[in-house]
Amino acid sequence: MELSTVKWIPWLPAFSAVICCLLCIRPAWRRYAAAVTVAAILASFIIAMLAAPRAGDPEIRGDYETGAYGQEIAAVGETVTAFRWIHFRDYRAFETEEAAAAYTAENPDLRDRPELDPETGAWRVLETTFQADFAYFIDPLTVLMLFVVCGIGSLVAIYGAGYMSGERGYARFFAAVSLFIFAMTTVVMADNLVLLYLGWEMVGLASYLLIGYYYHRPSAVAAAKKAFIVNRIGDLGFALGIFLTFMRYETVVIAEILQMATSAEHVADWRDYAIPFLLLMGAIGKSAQIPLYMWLPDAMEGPTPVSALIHAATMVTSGVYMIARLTPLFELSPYALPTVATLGGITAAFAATIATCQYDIKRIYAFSTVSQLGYMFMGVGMGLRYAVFGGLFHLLTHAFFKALLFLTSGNVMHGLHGQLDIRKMSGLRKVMPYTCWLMFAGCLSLAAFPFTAAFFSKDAILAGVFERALGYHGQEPSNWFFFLGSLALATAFLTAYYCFRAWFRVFMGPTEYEMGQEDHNGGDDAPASAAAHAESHDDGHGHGKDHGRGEAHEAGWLMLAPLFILAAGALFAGMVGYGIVKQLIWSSTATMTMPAIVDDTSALHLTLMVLSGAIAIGGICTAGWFHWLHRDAAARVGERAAPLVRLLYNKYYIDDLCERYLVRPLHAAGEVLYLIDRVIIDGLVAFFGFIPRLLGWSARPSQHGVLQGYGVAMLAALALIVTVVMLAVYAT
Amino acid sequence: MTGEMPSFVLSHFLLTGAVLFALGLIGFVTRRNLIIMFLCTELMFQGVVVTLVAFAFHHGNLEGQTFVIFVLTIAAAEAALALALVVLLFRRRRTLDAAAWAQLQG
Repeated sequence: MELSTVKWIPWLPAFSAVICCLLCIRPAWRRYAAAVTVAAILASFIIAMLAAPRAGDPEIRGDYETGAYGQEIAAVGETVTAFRWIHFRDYRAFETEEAAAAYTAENPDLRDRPELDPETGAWRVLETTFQADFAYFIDPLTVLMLFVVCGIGSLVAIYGAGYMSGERGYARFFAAVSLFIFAMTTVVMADNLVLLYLGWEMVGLASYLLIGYYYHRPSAVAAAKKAFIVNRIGDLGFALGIFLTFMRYETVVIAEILQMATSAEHVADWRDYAIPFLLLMGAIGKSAQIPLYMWLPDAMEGPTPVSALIHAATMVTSGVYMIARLTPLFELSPYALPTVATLGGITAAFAATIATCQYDIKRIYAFSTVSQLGYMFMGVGMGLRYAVFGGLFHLLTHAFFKALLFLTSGNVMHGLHGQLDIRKMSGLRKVMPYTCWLMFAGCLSLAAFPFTAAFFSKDAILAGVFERALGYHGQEPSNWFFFLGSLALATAFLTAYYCFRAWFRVFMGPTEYEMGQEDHNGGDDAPASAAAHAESHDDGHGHGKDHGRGEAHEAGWLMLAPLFILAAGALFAGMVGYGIVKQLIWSSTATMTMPAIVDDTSALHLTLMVLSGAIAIGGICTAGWFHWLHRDAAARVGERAAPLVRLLYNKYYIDDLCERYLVRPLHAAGEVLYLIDRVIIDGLVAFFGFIPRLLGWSARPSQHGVLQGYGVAMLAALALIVTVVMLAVYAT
Repeated sequence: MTGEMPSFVLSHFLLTGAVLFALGLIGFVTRRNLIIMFLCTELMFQGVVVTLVAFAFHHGNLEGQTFVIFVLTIAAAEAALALALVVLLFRRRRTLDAAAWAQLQG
């Protein structure tokens, strides 16, 4: 397949979004929205896997291990232009014709010849000063991201076809999912920062639309707004970062920026120190790192497939992707990458402690996502080839196991009519056996049990951190990074504990459960959706008229089939993908400028593998002891440490503190501004509106309706006119 | 003919017209019966018409008199319309008092 076909990868889902909107016209058409979306995303996936790996110079991929391929970005990836978008052109003035001719000779992409300015008589050349096209830059990093976005995206869309059937707004859901895939592929393929920002904002929009999918539920609307507003704070920094990048490099094309930033003549100045921190603001907003992580747990108000796709597997990783893509810019500032790593490490530990004391399954996984994103930040922030590979490999494995965990928790929620509280369910393995063992596979991977996918990726991150901390590959030994590495190991224990705490609580022990309140068969819907639901019965979804209200049940095959693929990925992606992903990352722009691997660190890697494997097994055993075998012991420990449990359950009261010291003062400021608007601005407008009314009020008595009065008025007017005329006549 | 005409004759005619006009105007303003008010407007018309004829006679041409013929024709048509309106208004309110229609104000 030709490389140029990659320009269809974003546009197929875009067309699918439009078609899904058109399908809303007739209620009978709406159920085809799922098929359209799945077909579009799958087609994008196939194109991405067939065409995109052709980009770049195969020679580079050959000797990626040494990292000695130089710094030619043009050789790493290729640019495919879909169409021209924004071009600004301006004249450059020259003293003589020869100078202008020499300039055009140096720049063969100029389309116009030198000409004489008719006003000043100077020579000038018309050249492009700003250029942002719908152009796509394909390098191995993009290929990896496309695999995640389109691959997980199509699996989640298939799952959603079953999960969402009978819901009100079925076509709206798939339109938003298609829009999201369009936006996300645009982000990972964008050739310039403006297009990247466009996609970045569009994923925010799709996320907003999907969190607020149940718009009749006030909590969903509030969560959607929170996500959007918190992301705006980060995006403000990102936008400023892009502006400053354009000021510094006079272009927004990523490949050109990276080329300039990595060239030997480039001398860093204050702008190079500021740009990474501004860009980082966007990344921490989108990837839910401290301090802008609050929106992600609330985003679980959206339908579960959305939580899996957008708020676990893909969108939240766009911050990691952006940092990896622009790593050469971050390396220009000595404190930027350590800041990324520190933020990531602290967020990972912080979110993991919160996750140990939550009771809502989706919230546990939401905090787990924040924590795992922290791991990825730690990886890409390390500035070493091995750590960056680990961070991005973890992005891939995390997409598999976290999507699997969310979708299986969706099965539980679906089967128990919206019940998510792990205190109200137990021993579900007999009721939903497939879901039970699928979630077990996901938990094993999240806990980094030896030889599952996340075991390899997390180990790569940890190895990278300790390589940096112990001073391999020409780095300074650093106590701080040693601390971060130890923190990451402690977090690994917490991770294994909290995910198996949920699993043992839900699926092990005596079988008892309480059904939720939500009627996901569409109780508040019009009869039209009930009819659509009855039709959807035969696609394996499992709900029908014969299905009683009070019993839990296993999910249908349409929902289980994608989960098996995800489970295979969660268990085996580490072994299968290790070498492939390492080759992809090490031959992409992400690790281009990293120091070459000079020291033999296999002993360190082996030690860490044994250590992290033991930690994972230890965490799983602790969870099993307390939450399967001796639940009364867990309750006793919980009572002993009640203040700590309360603190963690309430997420360190950060949300309440934000509410009190941030949201309420802003509300108060808003009230003041509202008052100013009402009194001064509206008062002024009302005053100008009052003037014609005043005039009318003063003239109104003359129209009294009494005929004689009109007669007198006519007489008076006549007398006046005659008097004036007479005076005029006699005055002459 | 103009020379033989004593000048005070013109002023007599004009005075007659002015008196007719003033009487009509006073009647229009003071009376409340719609028919009387209508008659008063007719009276004002006639005052103006007398003035027109007097000036026409004074200047010795027929333009004023031609104009008078037109005015009379239109006044006849307008009188028919106005009386029909008065009848209709009377049927609505069972009274000829102009104050009964005073609520048609702006």
